[in-house]
Amino acid sequence: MPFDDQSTLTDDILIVRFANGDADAARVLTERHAPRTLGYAYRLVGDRAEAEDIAQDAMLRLWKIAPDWRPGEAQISTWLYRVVTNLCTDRLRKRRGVGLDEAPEIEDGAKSAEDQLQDQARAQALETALQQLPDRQRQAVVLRHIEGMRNPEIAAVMDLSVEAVESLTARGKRALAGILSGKREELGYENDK
Amino acid sequence: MTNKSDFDLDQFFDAAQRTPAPASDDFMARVMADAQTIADETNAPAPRPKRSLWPVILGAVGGWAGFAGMATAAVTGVWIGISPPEILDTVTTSLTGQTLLDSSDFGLDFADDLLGDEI
Repeated sequence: MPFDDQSTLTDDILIVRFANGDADAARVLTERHAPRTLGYAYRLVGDRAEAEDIAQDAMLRLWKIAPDWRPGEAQISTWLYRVVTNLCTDRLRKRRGVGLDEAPEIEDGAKSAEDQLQDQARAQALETALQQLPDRQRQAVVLRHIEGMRNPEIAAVMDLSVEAVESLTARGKRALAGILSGKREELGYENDK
Repeated sequence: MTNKSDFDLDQFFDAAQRTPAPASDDFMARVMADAQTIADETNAPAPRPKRSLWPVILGAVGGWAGFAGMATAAVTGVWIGISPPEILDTVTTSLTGQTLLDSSDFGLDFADDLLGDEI
């Protein structure tokens, strides 16, 4: 391993190095976590610019907490998911306070399907459907089925019991199925099977 | 017609996983700029605390108690120099054969009542 190659180091080592003033350690942590943090934020708020603000804020909080980070106690990815979940919840509450007309428009899934590849159309349709779920259901479904986390990890992120996570996920999936089943034809779903 | 519970959501989840929201260069640069700012604060030398001269002086003379003793001795010395008690005159005369000089000998004319010494 070259002297300055930190890409193979663990998150715990990198965060300690950053706390000691090593900005290069932050570069590796940024490449490792910022895109995923942004993707999660985007799926929760459905707005690109807002998601970037939230993800940047979450990463900034990571930099600030670095000197107090206790290696081995929590995973940085889980900690970031938790911070993003809380930041998104705050934003969504405020957004509802400004009235529906001022809330950002979610692009219609059917329109995307005309111009984009099938994967992108489905992803967009899912994104649109996710925005119609209650916040907690959306968070649980995204963490479980898109971010690929296990239920105990989700319970830690959302500060819930595993049973509550299972219940939220099941209800969220039922609601999604209800929304998306009406768009089967326009998404080309029936052509696959 | 497919029942809602049978609806295959996995295809949508798989599609979402295959099409992550891409992180722009600008976004990554902003995150790194924040990190650099925090790192610079960590690396900045701590400002040296300003030291007043008083603690140094007090330390040299043994703290406030030592300073108060020195001040008392100095005032007492000046007092005795200006207005010596009678006994000092006797001792000086017996040792040197000369009387103590008075402030008036140097052309100085202190008002004795200012020194608390009624004539």
